[in-house]
Amino acid sequence: MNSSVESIVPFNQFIDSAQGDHQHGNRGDWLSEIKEKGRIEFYKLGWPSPKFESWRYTNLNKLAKTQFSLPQDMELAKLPYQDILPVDAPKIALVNGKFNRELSDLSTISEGVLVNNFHDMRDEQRALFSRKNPTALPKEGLPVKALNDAILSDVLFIEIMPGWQFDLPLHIVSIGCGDHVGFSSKIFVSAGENCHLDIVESHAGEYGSTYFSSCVSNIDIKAGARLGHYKLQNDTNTSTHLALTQTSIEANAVYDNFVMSVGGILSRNEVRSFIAASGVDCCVNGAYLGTSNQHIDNTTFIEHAAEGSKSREVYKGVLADYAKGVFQGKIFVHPEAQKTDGYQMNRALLLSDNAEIDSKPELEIYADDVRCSHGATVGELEEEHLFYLKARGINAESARRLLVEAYIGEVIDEIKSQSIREALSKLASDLLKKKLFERSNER
Amino acid sequence: MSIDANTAEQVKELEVDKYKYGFVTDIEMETAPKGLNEDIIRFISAKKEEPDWLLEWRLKAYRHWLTMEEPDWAKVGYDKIDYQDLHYYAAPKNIDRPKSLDEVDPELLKTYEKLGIPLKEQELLSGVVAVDAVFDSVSVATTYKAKLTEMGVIFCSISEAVREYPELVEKYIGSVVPYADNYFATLNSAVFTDGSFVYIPKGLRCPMELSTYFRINAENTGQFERTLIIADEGAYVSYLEGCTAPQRDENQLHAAVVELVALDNAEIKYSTVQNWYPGDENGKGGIYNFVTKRGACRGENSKISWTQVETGSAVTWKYPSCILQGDNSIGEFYSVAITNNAQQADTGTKMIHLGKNTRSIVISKGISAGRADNTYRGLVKIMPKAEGARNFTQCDSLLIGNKCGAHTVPYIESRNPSARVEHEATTSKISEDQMFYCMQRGLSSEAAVSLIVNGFCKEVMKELPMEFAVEAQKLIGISLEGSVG
Repeated sequence: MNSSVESIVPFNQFIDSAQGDHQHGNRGDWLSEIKEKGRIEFYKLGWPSPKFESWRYTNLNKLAKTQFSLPQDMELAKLPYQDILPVDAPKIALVNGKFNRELSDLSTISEGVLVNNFHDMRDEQRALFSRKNPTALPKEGLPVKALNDAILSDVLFIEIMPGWQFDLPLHIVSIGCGDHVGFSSKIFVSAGENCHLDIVESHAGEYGSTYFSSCVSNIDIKAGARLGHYKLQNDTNTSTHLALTQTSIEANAVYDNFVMSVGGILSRNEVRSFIAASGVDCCVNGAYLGTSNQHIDNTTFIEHAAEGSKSREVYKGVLADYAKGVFQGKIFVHPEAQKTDGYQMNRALLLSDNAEIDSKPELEIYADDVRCSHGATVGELEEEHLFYLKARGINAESARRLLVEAYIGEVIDEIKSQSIREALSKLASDLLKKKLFERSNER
Repeated sequence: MSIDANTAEQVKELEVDKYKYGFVTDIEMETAPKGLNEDIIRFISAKKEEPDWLLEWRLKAYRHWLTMEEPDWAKVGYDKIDYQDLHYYAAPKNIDRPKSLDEVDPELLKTYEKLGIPLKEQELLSGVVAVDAVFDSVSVATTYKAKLTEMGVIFCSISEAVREYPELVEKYIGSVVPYADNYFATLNSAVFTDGSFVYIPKGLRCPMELSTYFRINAENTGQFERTLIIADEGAYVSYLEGCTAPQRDENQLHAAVVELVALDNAEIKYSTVQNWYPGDENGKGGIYNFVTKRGACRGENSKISWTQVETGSAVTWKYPSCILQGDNSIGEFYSVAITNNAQQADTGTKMIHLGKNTRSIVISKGISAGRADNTYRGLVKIMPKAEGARNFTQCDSLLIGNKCGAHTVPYIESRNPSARVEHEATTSKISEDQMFYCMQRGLSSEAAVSLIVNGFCKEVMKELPMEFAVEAQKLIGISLEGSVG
């Protein structure tokens, strides 16, 4: 490759255009500083290309050649309810990454949950930006995080007071709208000691929009807290979604994470969980459904840094048409993390000749008294299972649908929150119908 | 079970006679000057009286090598190798390929006796193993040649093959591992000095095990051997490979290439017991074992099976692979990798499924003790035309002590929906219960560990030919000595 070409990082015009964008006075200076740091870091790390081990299966070349611009202040009449998770909950709406009060509904939110954004954030919240997550990260760094900072326009802070327990989830709805706009959303969640809350993120777009979104969530779970964190990625079918969730978990806390990826032309969800103390129960699960020429990447990293914690990870995917799925999962056990119990399973179902899966389940273990296992399977629907159903008078189409639904249902069942489990399960069934089974009738 | 002072002492005691192959043979050597350049390559080629095409091929490889960068993706760390500080050719003097064993330098014969490799035919295990002995850069003796030649089997050093059967060598060399394949394979292509060549004719089941014994003796030399095995239609061969080196403080480089070709209905079984000097307990010295091994199942119903017991070397970087081109072909990989003290191993396999109904099985057992790092790295790739392909992979790791690491890095890439790929892996330690059970029956802790580990590896050990299985079992015991208290 020509070195003079290589030295120009894609997106540089877009990123540079985000730098001059200050209009917030003294807060604006602070924001400019974050953006400048992000820009320098991103240029230093370089564009995520397949020569980085963690990007070997997800090629962003096409994205690199696409021109994006910063979103203008857009009027969005209402949320695209059909594309977000149907849960009865207080809503925080983000439009192109910016908090939108009109579309949000915080009337039922409890006083035990504080929600702030860039305009009313406090000093200690600002300090969160300079905090480093303790980790034994792969050396290539996190380009998604750097890019997210470089084009930052707003931040959302959610703080759950210690001891408060909520039955009602909190719904963050992030909507992209516009033609070839690029934006970042950033969420900080701090779950106080012994609290409980379920947070749901729905990522979708206004009909017909094409956008690039970079979503970074930083989650801090204090001792004894229980946090459910569920995400639906249902962006428009021309959009790109690059997300990174970094969680740090203290003693005896429970983190229940689930990611469902169905939208976008290209999406990558990176979930990094750092288990800092003992007695933690950490679940990192997910499901994905890829059709047409979608590319769906799920990359997870579970790090055990303390003794006697448990992690469980199950990912299941269904791939049809020309879709490509990527799963990269790593369990990292530090020498101190004796008595770790780690489990990881990745399964993928290929439903067409041209679908493709690349799977890399990894174990990196430095402690001897551990129980860690992982497994991966790739294949199509079992002929025998189909036969079993058909022998009972169920037609081939219904039998296939039943099996695929059950296949995905198995991982949705892992979700600890009942209301969200039910909502996702309903949604998954509708999506399978729409994306896989009923479309053949339409044609 | 942790390492305590008692263990440390035991380790010290064992250190002295632990690596019994660590002696040096004092023999008159002819070496090329240090360094690597086109002249050295011409020198090697001239020494070997090679045809022009081979010299050209070497030079092409060398020129390509100059443009390459040493890979750093493996999970191993080592000091940079100074490629100009090595001898690329070292040969015992006065061995113009002896006609019979009587002409072989008695010092050499003694060396192999000491290593437990009898070269005198009458001493061989009731005549079931034929041995090609490679000393530093050259093959010194091949036993049972006459008998094999009678049946049409060609078993000789690759230098001899280049002279006697150039058309076979030219046809197959570099056809499985091209000269530009990877950094170390390319280096090997440029400077390889010797190795074994095997050709099994159509329909023949080779009646004896063929074996090569590699020995690095000289100081500051790299060993670059190249092995080429061809099983013609319907042929079968079982091939064994063993290696040792003297105990030295500096690191020595071993960058070999092994190419296997199996045509229709042919089967090749390749077994390795790798026991290069692993360095001392502080990680000083030892062999860098950077080897490219690959087999091509070219024909229908062909089969290639790799079995390896890796106990030696300071750093191992090795992925014996199978390219399953022929329909219904089978690839197998059975591996035991043991690392102790400061050893590092990054090893595994690649199974590339191209043909219909191709099958592969991977069983890997990694054992890590001391401060060692042991990584399984494997690729299973199903190409779009591999209708009905099937793979099963199992990787188990055992950790002994809390300063070592065990890692599993599988890559699974499937491009055919009818293919079925399964992978499973576990990591655990020897449980207190297992130890207690053995020890209360009167076994020492050492014997108990050896027993448990041998049980852990059994699935792989049973794939080894009998002659090797005994040696390998003992080796496992020795490699882990002093690792538990």
